Amino acid sequence: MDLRMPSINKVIISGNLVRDPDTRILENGTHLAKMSIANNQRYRDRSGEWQEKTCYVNIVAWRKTAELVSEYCRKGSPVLVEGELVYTSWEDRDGSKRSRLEVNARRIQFLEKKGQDTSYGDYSDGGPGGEPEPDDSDPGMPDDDIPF
Amino acid sequence: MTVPHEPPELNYIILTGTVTEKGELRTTSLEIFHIRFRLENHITPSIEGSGEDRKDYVLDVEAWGSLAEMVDRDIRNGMFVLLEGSLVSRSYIDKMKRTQYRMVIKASEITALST
Repeated sequence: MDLRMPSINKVIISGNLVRDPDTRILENGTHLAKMSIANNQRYRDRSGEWQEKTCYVNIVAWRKTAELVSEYCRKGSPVLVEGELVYTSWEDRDGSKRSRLEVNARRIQFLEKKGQDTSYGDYSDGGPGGEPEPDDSDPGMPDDDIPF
Repeated sequence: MTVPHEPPELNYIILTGTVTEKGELRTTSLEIFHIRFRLENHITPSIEGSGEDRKDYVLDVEAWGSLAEMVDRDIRNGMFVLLEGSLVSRSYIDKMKRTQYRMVIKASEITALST
C-alpha cells in the first residue's frame, strides 16, 4: 500500500490582544476578525535573573468565532488560541510583494473572568463547514501595524 | 483549587514538512550551537486528498544547543520531519535601515519521518 506522509499543522498559543480586534463582514456575509496577541515568554539570563521577551502573533478568526471575538475581546483581553499556522502573501500599494505568518484560529478561549464567575468562555467554529473561506480583500493589517 | 491570577503563557506548535536550505552549524559568543533551515509545510486545507487546494508554506526554523548538533549530524535537505517548538519574533535591519520583524519557529524536538 502506498501511503502519504501525514500533514500536521497545529498551534496553541496564549496572549493578550495588543489592540481592539479588527472585525468586518465580507460581501458573502461571512464574519472575519483579525487581531494581534502578545505572548510573553520568561527565561533566565546568564546571571540567573528572570527576563521576559514578547512574541507578537497575528490571529485570524472566521464566522461565529469572529462574531464572539468582536463581542467579547478588547485590547488587553487574554485569550488562548488553537489553530494552524498559515502564510499569507499579497501586493502592497507600491506593487511590492509582502507576506506574513499568521494563525488561522479554529478555537478561541476567552480567559477573562466576568465578575465572580470563574468559568472560562470557550468558542469555536465547530461542525462541518468550519474551514476558513478565502479572503479576497486586502489583508488589511500590514506588518507595519505590529506594535514592536 | 486555587485559580492562578494570570493564565499560563502557552506557545506550542507542531508541524510536519520537508527540510530545505539547511544552513551550517554555528556557535554564539557563548559557545552555544545553533543552526537554521527551512521547512516546507504541505497543507491541504479543505477536501482531503483532492490535491487541488494543497498549499506549500515555507517556514524559517532555528534549533539551538544539542538539538542543533543533531540537526547538523542527522537531518538532511529533503527529509520529511515532525517538528515541535514555539513561535518567536526575530528582528533585522532592512535595506532602508529600518528594523523589521519576522516570525520564526524555534524547534524543541525534531523527529525524522523519512530517511
